[in-house]
Amino acid sequence: MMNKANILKIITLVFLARPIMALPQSLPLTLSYFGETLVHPGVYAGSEISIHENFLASLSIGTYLHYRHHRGAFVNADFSWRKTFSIGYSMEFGAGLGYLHTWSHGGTIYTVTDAGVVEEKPNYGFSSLMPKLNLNLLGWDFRKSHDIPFRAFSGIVLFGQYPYNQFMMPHFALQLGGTYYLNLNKENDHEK
Amino acid sequence: MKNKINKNVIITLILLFSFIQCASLLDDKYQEGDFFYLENKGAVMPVWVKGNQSSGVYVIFLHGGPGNSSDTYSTAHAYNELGKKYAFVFWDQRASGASQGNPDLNTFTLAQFADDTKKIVNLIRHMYKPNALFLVGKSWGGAIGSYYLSDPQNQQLVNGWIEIDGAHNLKDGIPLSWEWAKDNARKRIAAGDEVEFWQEEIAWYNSKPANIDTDYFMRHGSNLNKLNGIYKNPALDPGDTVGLFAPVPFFFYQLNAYYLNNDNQFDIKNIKLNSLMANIQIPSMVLWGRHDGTLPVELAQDAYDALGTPVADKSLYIFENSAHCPSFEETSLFILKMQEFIELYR
Repeated sequence: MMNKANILKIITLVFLARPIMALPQSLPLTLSYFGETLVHPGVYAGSEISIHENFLASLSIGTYLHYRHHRGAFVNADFSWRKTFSIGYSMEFGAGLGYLHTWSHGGTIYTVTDAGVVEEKPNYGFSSLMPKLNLNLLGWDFRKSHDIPFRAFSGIVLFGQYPYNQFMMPHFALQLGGTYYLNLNKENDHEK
Repeated sequence: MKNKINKNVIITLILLFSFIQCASLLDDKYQEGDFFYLENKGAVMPVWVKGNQSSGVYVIFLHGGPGNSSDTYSTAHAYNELGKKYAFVFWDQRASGASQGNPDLNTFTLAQFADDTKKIVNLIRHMYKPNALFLVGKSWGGAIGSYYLSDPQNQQLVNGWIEIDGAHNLKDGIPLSWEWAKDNARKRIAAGDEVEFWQEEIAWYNSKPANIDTDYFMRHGSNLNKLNGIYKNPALDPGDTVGLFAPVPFFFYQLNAYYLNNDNQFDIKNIKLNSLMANIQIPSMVLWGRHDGTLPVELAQDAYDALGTPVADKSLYIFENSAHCPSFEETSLFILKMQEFIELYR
């Protein structure tokens, strides 16, 4: 029967793309502000899975707007090392690779032929490779400190856009968000 | 328990989206005018038209570099004041400033930059039908404008040409700049100022031929700054005018300039347009800073002499208290000279 718990399990299976030996107790759902150059606003959403002890893999999709320069949309896969201390403080370092598509923003794109004819051009944008480094030094896991299935984090992302004018243009972004650990175990829900 | 979770989640979301709303503001100074892009041979180049469009007089600004941005000038006081009388067109050249795309390396030529200029002129004429159109070339923009206007057909679309501390002759200009730096370094040594440092720099200059490459921008550029060859009065340097809320990511134009000029992939050191400039017949004005170390003042007379414009319609003015950027260092006088020329030939 396709109830909510079963649907979530299928999503987990698809996301993990590996044989499921044991179903996870919870599904982490992440939502974060993604501020390119700190203040050009964006957002990303994703999920993560624990690989081994403090190592995680994650997948995210996001978008941001650098007003009157470009809009970006990306999908990323990352591998991270996260250390969570018993009091709740956590820090994380990660690296990843993804795809970034950018569209020029703020105005119409024109072309001019050699004969001087002016035409509007559709804004198809540009495809780029997006290598990425994450550094989150301010995290708090409320599961440790308050038994709440939520983790807050903030940090800096360094990412590249390649190719860009024949080189890789570096960007940096601020991330400020949280991960909610959706309980997949119905028995635990009943107890609460 | 559930209420606690909901409260924390809601507070987090409110904080998140409040931050996003505050952060989505564009700096006020970029709000006016028209903004669009020109795409040409793989480069998507931003164009900002601002100022007094009802005047019917449009001035297209060709920025320096290669690889810099028009942004420093588009919001500068001199051009804001001139913008009260005329419309200005600020655009970022290919692989420069806020330009996007991934144009082929083989498009990094003066001829291609001039072709981009031709397309900008055609685009502005198509969109605005100006009564008069002027070109202003600052530094590297001086090379682009000189090359573009050497074609008599292109001159028919332009009322007048202004070269400001321009790069029409880099073949002689770069060695002149090298010598300017050495001369002024010797003056510092004679004055007992950072003697060891300047001795080392003179030795470095003597160890290699004058060239435009990474060293030119990093080391020679740094020396020019220290020797007040870019700004005679460093206090008048506007610095990095692009802030966090600017359309141009503030380090983009610096990185664009670095990569465009790295490893000689854009070979401009042999540019000498004097013979082509003999074809330029339209009214022209040459403006130069006396203390320019980037492109020394000898090049001002060189530009004036090279222009084919009849003597009655060409002029040369030297700013006695400026280095490479008279629009920042002698703003009122700069505005006056620009207005005099535009009013005469509009």
